[in-house]
Amino acid sequence: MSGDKIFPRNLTARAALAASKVIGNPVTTMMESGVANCFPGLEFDVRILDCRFFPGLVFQFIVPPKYPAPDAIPNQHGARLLYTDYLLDPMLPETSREPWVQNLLDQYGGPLATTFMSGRWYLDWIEQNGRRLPMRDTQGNYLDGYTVWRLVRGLEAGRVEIGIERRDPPAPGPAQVVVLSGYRRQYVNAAGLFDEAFRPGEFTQSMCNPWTHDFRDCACHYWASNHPDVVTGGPLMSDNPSDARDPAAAQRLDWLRRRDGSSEVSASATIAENRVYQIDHYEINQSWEKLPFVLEGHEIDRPYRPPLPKWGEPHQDAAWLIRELENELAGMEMALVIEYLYALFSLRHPDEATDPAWPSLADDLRAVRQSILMVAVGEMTHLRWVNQMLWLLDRAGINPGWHYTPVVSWSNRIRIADRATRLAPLTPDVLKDFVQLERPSGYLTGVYEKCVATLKDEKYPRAVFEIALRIDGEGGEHYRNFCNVQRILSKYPRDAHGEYPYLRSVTPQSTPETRAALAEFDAIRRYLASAYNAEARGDMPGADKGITDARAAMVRLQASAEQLAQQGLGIPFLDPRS
Amino acid sequence: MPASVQRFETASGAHLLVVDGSRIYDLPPGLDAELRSAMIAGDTAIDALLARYGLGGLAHIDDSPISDPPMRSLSLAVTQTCNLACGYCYAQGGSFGAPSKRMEWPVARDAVLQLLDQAAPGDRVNIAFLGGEPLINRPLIARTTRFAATEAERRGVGVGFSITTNGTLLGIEDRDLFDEHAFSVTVSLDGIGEAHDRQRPFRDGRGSFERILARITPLLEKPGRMQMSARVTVTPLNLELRRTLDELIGLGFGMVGFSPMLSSPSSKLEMQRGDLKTLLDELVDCGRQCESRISAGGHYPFANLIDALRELHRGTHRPYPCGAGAGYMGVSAEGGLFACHRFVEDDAGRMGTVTDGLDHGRRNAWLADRHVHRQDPCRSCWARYLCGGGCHHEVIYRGRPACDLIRGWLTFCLQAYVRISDRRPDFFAQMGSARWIA
Repeated sequence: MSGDKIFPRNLTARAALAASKVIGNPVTTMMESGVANCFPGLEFDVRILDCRFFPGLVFQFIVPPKYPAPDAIPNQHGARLLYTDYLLDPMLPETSREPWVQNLLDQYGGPLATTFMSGRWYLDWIEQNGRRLPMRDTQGNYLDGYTVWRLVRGLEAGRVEIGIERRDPPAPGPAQVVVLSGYRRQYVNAAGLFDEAFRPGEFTQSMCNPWTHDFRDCACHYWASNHPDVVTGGPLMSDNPSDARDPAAAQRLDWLRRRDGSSEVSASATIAENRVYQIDHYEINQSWEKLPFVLEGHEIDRPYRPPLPKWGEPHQDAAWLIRELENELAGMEMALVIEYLYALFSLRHPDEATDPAWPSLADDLRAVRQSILMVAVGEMTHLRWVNQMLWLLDRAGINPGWHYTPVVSWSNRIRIADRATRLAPLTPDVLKDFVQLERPSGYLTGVYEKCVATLKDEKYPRAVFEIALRIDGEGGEHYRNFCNVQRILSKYPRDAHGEYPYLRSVTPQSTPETRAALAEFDAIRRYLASAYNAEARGDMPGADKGITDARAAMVRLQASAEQLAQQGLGIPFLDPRS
Repeated sequence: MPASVQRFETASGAHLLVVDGSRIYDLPPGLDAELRSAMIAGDTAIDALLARYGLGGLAHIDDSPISDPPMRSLSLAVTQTCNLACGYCYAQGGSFGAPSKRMEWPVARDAVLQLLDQAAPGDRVNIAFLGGEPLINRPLIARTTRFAATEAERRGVGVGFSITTNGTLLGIEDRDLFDEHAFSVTVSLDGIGEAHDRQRPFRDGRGSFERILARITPLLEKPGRMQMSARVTVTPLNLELRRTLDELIGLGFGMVGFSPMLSSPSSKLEMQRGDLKTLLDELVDCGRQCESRISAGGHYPFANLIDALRELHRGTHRPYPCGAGAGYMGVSAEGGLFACHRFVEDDAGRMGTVTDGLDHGRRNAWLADRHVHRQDPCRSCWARYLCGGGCHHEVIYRGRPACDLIRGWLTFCLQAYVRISDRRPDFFAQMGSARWIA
């Protein structure tokens, strides 16, 4: 017994339950059970299946026009042979030993190659299990395309013979009929996938209009084929980084925008504002296929190639690697944490953005502060990872005689940017410097390339290599965040006093309040060091305690830093300690 | 007895088999009480209860018979003669009451083509060699197997082979062919030594067991890709199932199954009411052993239970007991098509010939007539979609003497299924793979 529920035991009982409580995608998202599982269909046009019912041939089902032109060619309706398409037909492999396959291939490649090129050829009869169905009624009139389609659709799997007649004979005389023998195509394989004879786009080429219209206007939840609202402009970061130098490449674009070159500007914030620049119903009918695929939030206009890993020059030995991690990288990560946090607190709080001249400033500050905080958190994670790499190397005994001690101090220089570590408010110049620092294949990720190249050697623990690889790969996200910040803040110029409306006037000062905050910061570093030490020893409860303490202290520091900054007091993170 | 549900219990509580769809549920106590009152009130109350709890719905099986299903399996009576003289034989010494015959190559070839013509690429078919004693016509078996394998491969159709033999002629000389084509080999053995010899003597009266043992031992020791099973016909003379089962497993068989002798042309050795009761006790005894071995993570190749567990897990529900006359047919030595191997040379099951093709009228009439909804008292029995109405041959010639045995055995199997699915859920997960019983 399982609690108070009716518990289904065997497969049929479970299937019955699954039918009443759908888990995952509903069955209506599958082709065969789509919204309109008859023609033309909302997901695809099922009539297209029968256009290729006979291997190697493509037919079109034509109905008589409602208002025929007086001089139109008569008898255009029925199943007209469009062309032969046998070279890649999976039912007709050249290597087949089936006589019927070879026979068809001989005919398609031989006499029929020219026969079908002239004249109008139509399906005249089909024969299966000894019964022949003519494509004419009892008076000899040709059946319309839909009736023929129903007859073809009704064919069973297995052997079938067909006659194809030329309806515009070049000379009077007996009708010219080509007889072919083969097997009816089975449209899907055992896994439910379409036969590979069908070409991309075929199923949707005759799609009904509501589909495309709804694709324009429907909210994202009804159709399985939902679409993005906004995308990031420009190519994928990793696709070709040299294309991505311009931070404007990171602007947000409306995916449904009219692609005539006049609207390659950032999407506006509301649907109504964007609507006028979007393609309309008639345009989506005409050119929906021009809407690009979107990968990782970027429109792509060519096949995506994952970037090749870049290997730098390895360090000469483990001692060098460890020295780099201890003396340079860990300290650099901590220095960046400090710089980013200081910059974060130099930004006004959204509640302080009361100037009626900048009604969007509060929202923008909310977004910008969140972005910078995310980057700072990312750098804190990197600091932990560098420490983890060190303790794993120690555990593996990579450098005999050396032992791990936690690194939670900062470097005085950001070597890669060739400048001193500094505390600066987030002015456009400082922001530009951050963008430059985090640019993929720019400064920051470059420094890990050498580690990755060294750790590739199998004598190092695999886990250490993977951590290095992960840090190396994370720069792109930080870069995009800073680009975003840059784009958002760029619309706020200096005021008459030379001030930016989003910045506080903050300078690092040593007061009892800021010194208390500094002590909190140092406590965080001690907690982290004790957590890393514990984890390196495998003492997970100890590690948990250190992290919990550090987290609580971080919350306190954030509150006090915010309060101090409102008074113009910056925390002098870099001051020498006694 | 309600026709739409069967309630049963295990130590973990009450359970419900919903007959439609062979669905198995655990019942919470509240619902169980409601169900029991509904069962007293009658079928209408039960159906209303099922509907209220979302267990009703459209029936999985209706009254319409299947018609002209594709053939998936053929058995070839490659000989209609036998070197044994089993007292109960449905084929009356292998000849089916007619003069002894051997199948000729054109008949076998046409039968194979008839089968393959109805298969599409990717389908799977099975060819079984039966008799009489099929190995009397060994060359035809070899030729037919090779032809079918080549022809099936050319058409992209999968083919499996099986043979049912008395074992007296089976031997090392068959290994290459059977191994190459992964034959499923079933040897008819009714026990060990004397127990077997009593029922399955040579025509001159000598016992056959020693001879069989000598011939099959090398194959049991090195079966290769062959699957070796033993099939025991149970008569009032060999009702000690558990001992037989352990002994045959001890010989090395990969699977051992029992079938009661319910109908024989001479009525000899048929099981009577009291014997069937004993048989049920014996089957349950074997079942308990099998269940405890499976629960402990082991394996015990008792075909009757393992097959039943597989069917219960899948929720198999069918309006026929087997594929006879539907996906399966028996071919007589002269090329007649019959509902199954037991109906060979019997007009009741005649359905055309391999040369002229199927007699669709007779076949569809058979399928309409044999539908379980047309059988009495089956239509009101809870086991109808699991049992399918019982072996057509036995029902037509003896009736349904074994219904209590079937229901009793299924009840044990349902309980065992619930217990094993609690203790060894992985056991059923493995059932998806082809060789899960190995």
